[in-house]
Amino acid sequence: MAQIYEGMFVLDNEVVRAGWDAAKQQVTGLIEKHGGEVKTARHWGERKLAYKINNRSRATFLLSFFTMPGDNIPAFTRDLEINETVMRYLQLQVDELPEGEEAEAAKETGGEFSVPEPPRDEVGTYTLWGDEEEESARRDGRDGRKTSSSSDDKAESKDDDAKGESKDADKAESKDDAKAESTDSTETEEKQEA
Amino acid sequence: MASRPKRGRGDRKLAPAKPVTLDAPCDYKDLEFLIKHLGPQGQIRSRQRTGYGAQDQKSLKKAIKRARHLALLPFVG
Repeated sequence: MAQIYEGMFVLDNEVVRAGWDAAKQQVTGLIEKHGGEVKTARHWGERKLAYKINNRSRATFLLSFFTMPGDNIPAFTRDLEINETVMRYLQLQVDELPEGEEAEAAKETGGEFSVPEPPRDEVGTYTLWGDEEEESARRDGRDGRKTSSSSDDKAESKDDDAKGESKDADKAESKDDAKAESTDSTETEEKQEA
Repeated sequence: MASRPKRGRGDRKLAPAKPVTLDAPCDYKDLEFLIKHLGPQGQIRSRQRTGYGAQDQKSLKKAIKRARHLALLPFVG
């Protein structure tokens, strides 16, 4: 039995704009070219990157599980390096296909699936949560979130304090906002240094 | 000369290392989990802070470094 691999590919948004299927085909085509069999391949989100790659600060992620004879891997990775659509890749050996992965990937083959056009490169700022919308959704949901006792993280304990201090949700929110702003400013400083 | 008690950051007490074990190795895609183990500048939290054993800390380290490679997480700096 051929080894199963998990591949995460960071794709150039310029290519994704032209069409998601074509962009996906570039990767799956490469896998098949080297004697691999694509088990699943799906869109894993479009997000702001933590740092620029090839002068791009946004990119689309493609998560794929595939089998391939081990001898063909070096040639495959070489082709990935040459390919300009794939800006980064990560390839790991896995024991088996994760549960639910096939169902997730099957959603893409349905007629209703469509990938929204990626925003312009400069839109948005990087947050650890990937997207400003997600960040704000998280922020809203934080008050109701259960905190795990296992974490020793400082930020976590700060949140706990904010929660314990006041039942006033507005107060807690403004605190979070201030925190978010401060992280933003440090990020820009870093960029300037770079 | 008798040394004065340390002041400043070195004085800060670490959280007591509670033994924590993970059910499964960390996944680089689970960013919500990984972020809990990062410092303000994106440093990986030490074993004393996370409370993990050698195996778990190693899997955490690997997952964070994989996420950094894909620009999902920032490098320290």
